[in-house]
Amino acid sequence: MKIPVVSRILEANERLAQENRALFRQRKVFVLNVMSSPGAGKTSLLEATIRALRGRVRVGVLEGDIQGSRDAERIGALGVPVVQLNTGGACHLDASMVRQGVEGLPLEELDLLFIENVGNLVCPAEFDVGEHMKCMLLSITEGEDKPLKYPLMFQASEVLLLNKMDLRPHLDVDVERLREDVLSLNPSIRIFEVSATKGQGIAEWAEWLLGRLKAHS
Amino acid sequence: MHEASIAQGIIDIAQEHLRRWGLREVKSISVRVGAATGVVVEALRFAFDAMKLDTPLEGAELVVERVPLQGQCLECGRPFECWEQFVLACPHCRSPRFRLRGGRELDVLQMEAE
Repeated sequence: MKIPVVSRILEANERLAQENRALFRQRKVFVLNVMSSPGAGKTSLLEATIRALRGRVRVGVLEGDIQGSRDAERIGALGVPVVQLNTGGACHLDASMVRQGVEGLPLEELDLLFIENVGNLVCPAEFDVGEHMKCMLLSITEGEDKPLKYPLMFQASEVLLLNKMDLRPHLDVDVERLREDVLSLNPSIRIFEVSATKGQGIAEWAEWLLGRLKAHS
Repeated sequence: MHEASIAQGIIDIAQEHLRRWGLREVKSISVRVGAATGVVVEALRFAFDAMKLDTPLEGAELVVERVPLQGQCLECGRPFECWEQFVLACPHCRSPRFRLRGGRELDVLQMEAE
């Protein structure tokens, strides 16, 4: 017999993401989903941001990786609560993994939670995990052609951090062209130029993030 | 894309409907995939065929209806459609100001089961 179904395939994830969002609201935590290619500097950015925010807001981190716990060890060394999620091969975090991960975090003691997604410029943008803000990191060593090759990620993000700006003198990358292409895809995106390891631009980004957090709460 | 997650989503939805209707196996299942979702239909079929083994969908055929990306330009007012995953400008007047009307569909429509 024929059965009408009419059901959105990713509906289960969307429902769980809404539940996560309700949980975060109840615990008064502002949640960022941090996305980039592998090696763009997500963990270094989190280390620098956590140092810049020290003593001002209470931060926690959910680390998503296909395998291993090296990133969680780096974040843990800064003395903030961290949970490592291993996706076991999956190319993105989904709402159910995030839900399991946050059970290991003292949410009621946090103001700000960073979710470091799996390094990938395609899939993470498609999966809502219940975050309040999607934040993208692109290192300028990746080249200025990335926005037009991976437009969805740039369209879905509220803020873009261009990392490794300290390397600009050694590269042929056209940062102005990169900015123009990003803004053509997403005219309202906020762009910061930073170097996570040298500290350039981090204070400005951290202040903006604090403002965004206050506006939300 | 994450065709394996999507194939699993299709299988989960089918199993839920089998339980609800008190049926045992799925003969075919129809899905609608919009061009702007980035789903590669061949990869989706491959994942579905691998993941349906040892489930009540083992003998099921996946029927895919593709939907083009559809937009309406806010400058020249003309509608357009294409099979690209992304459109950066209206193909008629090159304006970047347009509204997406379709192409993001990713739905299970119906299934045949007994």
